[in-house]
Amino acid sequence: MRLEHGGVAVDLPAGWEARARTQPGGNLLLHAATVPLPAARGDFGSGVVETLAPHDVFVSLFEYDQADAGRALFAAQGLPVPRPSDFSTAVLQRTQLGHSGAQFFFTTSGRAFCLHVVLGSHGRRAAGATTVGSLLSRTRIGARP
Amino acid sequence: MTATTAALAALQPGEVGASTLSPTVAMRAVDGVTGWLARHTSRRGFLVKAGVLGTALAVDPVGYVLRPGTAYAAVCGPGASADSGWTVFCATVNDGINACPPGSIAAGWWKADGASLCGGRARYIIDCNATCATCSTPGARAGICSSSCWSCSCESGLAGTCDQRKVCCNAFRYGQCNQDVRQVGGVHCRVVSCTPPWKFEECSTAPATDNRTRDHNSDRLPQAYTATTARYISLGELGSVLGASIGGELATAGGTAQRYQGGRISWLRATGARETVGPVAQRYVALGAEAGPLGFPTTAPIPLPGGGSASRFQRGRVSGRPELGFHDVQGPLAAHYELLGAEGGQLGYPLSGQQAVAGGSVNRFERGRISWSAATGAHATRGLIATRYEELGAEGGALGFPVAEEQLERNGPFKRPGAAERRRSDFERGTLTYDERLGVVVVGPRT
Repeated sequence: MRLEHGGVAVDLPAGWEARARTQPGGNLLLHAATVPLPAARGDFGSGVVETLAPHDVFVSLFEYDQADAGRALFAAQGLPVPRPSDFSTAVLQRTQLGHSGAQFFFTTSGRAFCLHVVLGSHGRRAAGATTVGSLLSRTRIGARP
Repeated sequence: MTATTAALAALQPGEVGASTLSPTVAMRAVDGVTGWLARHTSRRGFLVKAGVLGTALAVDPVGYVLRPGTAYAAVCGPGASADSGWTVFCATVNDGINACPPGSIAAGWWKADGASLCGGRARYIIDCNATCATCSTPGARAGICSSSCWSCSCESGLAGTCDQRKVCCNAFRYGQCNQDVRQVGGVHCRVVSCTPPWKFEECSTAPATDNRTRDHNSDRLPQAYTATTARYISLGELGSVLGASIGGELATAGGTAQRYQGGRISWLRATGARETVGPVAQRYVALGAEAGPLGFPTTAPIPLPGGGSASRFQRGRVSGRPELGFHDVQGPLAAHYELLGAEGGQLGYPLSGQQAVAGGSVNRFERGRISWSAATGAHATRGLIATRYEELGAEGGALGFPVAEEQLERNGPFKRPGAAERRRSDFERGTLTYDERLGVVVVGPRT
């Protein structure tokens, strides 16, 4: 199943749900998770991450203003693929017992993004990274429409 | 219902969605939340709480159900414990000051829409992240340096406050602020504002939202949206001359007061919410502020030529210029001073605060003085007459208090062009007359 919105296309692997919308200012926000996404959720996952079981994963792809793309924070190029070593129990908007997170800032197609990934279990981060990789390898980010 | 239609049914306006979840998984969250609540509350209790305490359930359902009744009672709002995982407010750990503590910088923000603490508007929460004070992390892809480099260390549970959230523990960056800083440390604490952060910080406008944090608060922050809050917002909040709030709103002298780094907002039903700023505010506070002799402010700060400023109060005035200092003029002396044109009049700026003298009180000004007693009222002496009056002991000297304003004496009803003038001030026990032709002040008997 394919989701396309705002210049981003995702071919969802089995066992995922994804939502995307355009924020005020034309910035894209994409959420994907291996759990159902509730209607009310924070942009970096509050309301979703509380429902993650140990094997579950949440992904937020958050776009910044167009003018932000040249700033030092977004110097890295291209959509990253998280490695198990990127995950930490502290890299969370709100730390939760057992959870693990990773965060990346990057530029691609002239657009500035943050990729934030939350795993239901830090102990299962190797498997979690693989699960996330299966989604991100099927994600394409093009220019702003 | 299939998994896909279940997902699409919950889409937000403007949102697109797709799902490859199995139907079993798709229904898991709904069953999980409602089932858990139903098992842990009575049916009636669940409905009542769902209706009345919807916010509490939305923000922290597990916490609320485990501790029924605490959601509204807690000043610090939901998720205030260390194990909630949220970060503490800066006011809690920064001596009540709602600003990034030294060694931290604004690193990003989000908003919570429809916040009662902002009068129904969005409430903005700004993360103050530690700096990478001792090192940076080469090649780090996260925008956060290693915790060994941070300018603060992880802790929680500060004594004497209900805001027990974590200090400098979460290695997260919202990313809209100080984007030219490649790496920062963890989130030291959070600042709150009803004004968008890009209006007072180096932040971009990319909006992030988390409505679950709408009612998070500290006992060292304002607790409600009041006339004082509205005035502060209208002035620009953290971007205004008032700067950051210090502590919450205090009850005083029948009204309220809110302290800021750069001044104060005082509210009384009769006067409304009025700010005093800078050295005027410092003088006002030194005199006891709202509970002191001046009472509550009745005007906004009044800018004056030459870098001066003034504020009027219920029972007086404070004004000054940096090189002269800032001084108070109270009660009938203030009324008389304003009658004579205040700082822009013949007397100029005050050089002293109001001083008690035997039988009355006095203020000295750049070009004279105003003396007051209950028997004589308030009167000014000016120029060389005032200088001579002071040489003679002023109010405590042989002349006593002035009994009238200075008068111009002429030889006949009309002054001839170019003719010299005589100016005279009458006192309780004599007169002082300045003869312009002779350039001297003459002491005489009371006529």
